[in-house]
Amino acid sequence: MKKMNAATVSLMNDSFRKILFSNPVLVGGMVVGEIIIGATSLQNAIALSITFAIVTIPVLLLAPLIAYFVPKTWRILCYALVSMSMLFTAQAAVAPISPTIFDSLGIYLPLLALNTVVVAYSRLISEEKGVVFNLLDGICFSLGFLIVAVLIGGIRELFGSGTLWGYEILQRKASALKLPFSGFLIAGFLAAAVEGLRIVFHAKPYEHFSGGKEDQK
Amino acid sequence: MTILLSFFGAALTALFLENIVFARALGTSWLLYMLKHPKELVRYSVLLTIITVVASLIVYPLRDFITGTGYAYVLMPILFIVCMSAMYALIYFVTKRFWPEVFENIRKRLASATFNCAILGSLLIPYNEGMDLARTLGYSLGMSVGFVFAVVLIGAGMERIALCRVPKAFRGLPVLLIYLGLLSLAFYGLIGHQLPT
Repeated sequence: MKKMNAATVSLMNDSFRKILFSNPVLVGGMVVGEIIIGATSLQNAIALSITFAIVTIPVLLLAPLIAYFVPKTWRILCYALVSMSMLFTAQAAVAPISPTIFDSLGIYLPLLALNTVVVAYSRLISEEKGVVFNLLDGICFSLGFLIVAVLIGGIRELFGSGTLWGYEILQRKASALKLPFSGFLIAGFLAAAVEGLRIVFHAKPYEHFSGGKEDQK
Repeated sequence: MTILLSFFGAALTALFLENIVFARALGTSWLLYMLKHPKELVRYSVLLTIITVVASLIVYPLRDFITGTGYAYVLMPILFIVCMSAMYALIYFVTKRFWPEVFENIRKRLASATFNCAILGSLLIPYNEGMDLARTLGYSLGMSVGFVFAVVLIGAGMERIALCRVPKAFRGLPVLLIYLGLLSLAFYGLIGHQLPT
């Protein structure tokens, strides 16, 4: 019993470490584009995060099952179709956030259906893991994505438009913060902050998918 | 002549003005992968170009069927993904049957080259902007060439950065993102924009 508890605690620790020190965006370099362009306000950030969670978690959960029944070549089609079908639910879930949410996110909401976690991580890591591991992975990735999206979206909305969730806060604004280059720069500095914290706390980064690993397969 | 001008105009727009990486931030994850594996760039970019252009050609006449339904925002990405899946199956079977050597070369990369944001984006953007066939094909070609251009440019920059003493916390992804941001700003200025005041 004690052994099992220790294993569960270790799995939980390992999973929740991913939120910060193995953040999918700031450390793994996954799903960067959607945040850089899409997260220009807090509302957009929340909509992106909800969509990311709804689209990604079911794919990670189903990955071992799909891997068991479907030949390797055709698994990617299944992942793409599962995430695409979840996009219906995601669009219904984010619609109440704002009447203009689909216009302001444009193509970046449907693009989340083919994010790197769905397309690459699920094939390289999730297929070989169990349901509990994949569920924790999905939750941690979604929380990690949410934190980064809210930080970047909040900073850009506050200083770029002078508002927060649509309410006016600041009189002065720097509209350039809404342009793509600002997203790259803010993400870069946030990634450096996470790396700095990782160095201070001597934390090891989680083994994300890598080309080397893909080549071995 | 007008068609040719539309084609090249859209291709140049996608290559420089609306570069897939610097202006749209699409395919950034695959850019990171390509920087680690530069030898695969040619193979990957040829695949990306073929899939993007042929998928645009297939999707173009089918778009009209969905546009009239009133659910285009939901159904259009599904149509695009189904077309991408068809492209994947087509390339897989054709190369396996007729060019086994090519098949062995592309087998590992085919899934990554077919199912990615760059290709889905290159199908969604021309649709959203209401482009005609010539401009759609030009835009798709420009986007894939623009991706290769971005990888080469960033790769050259990262080689120089590797020779500098970058603070520990900024090494790797952080400095790459900052460099991408600076290049994105440079392109924004290069094409004649002024920063909003």
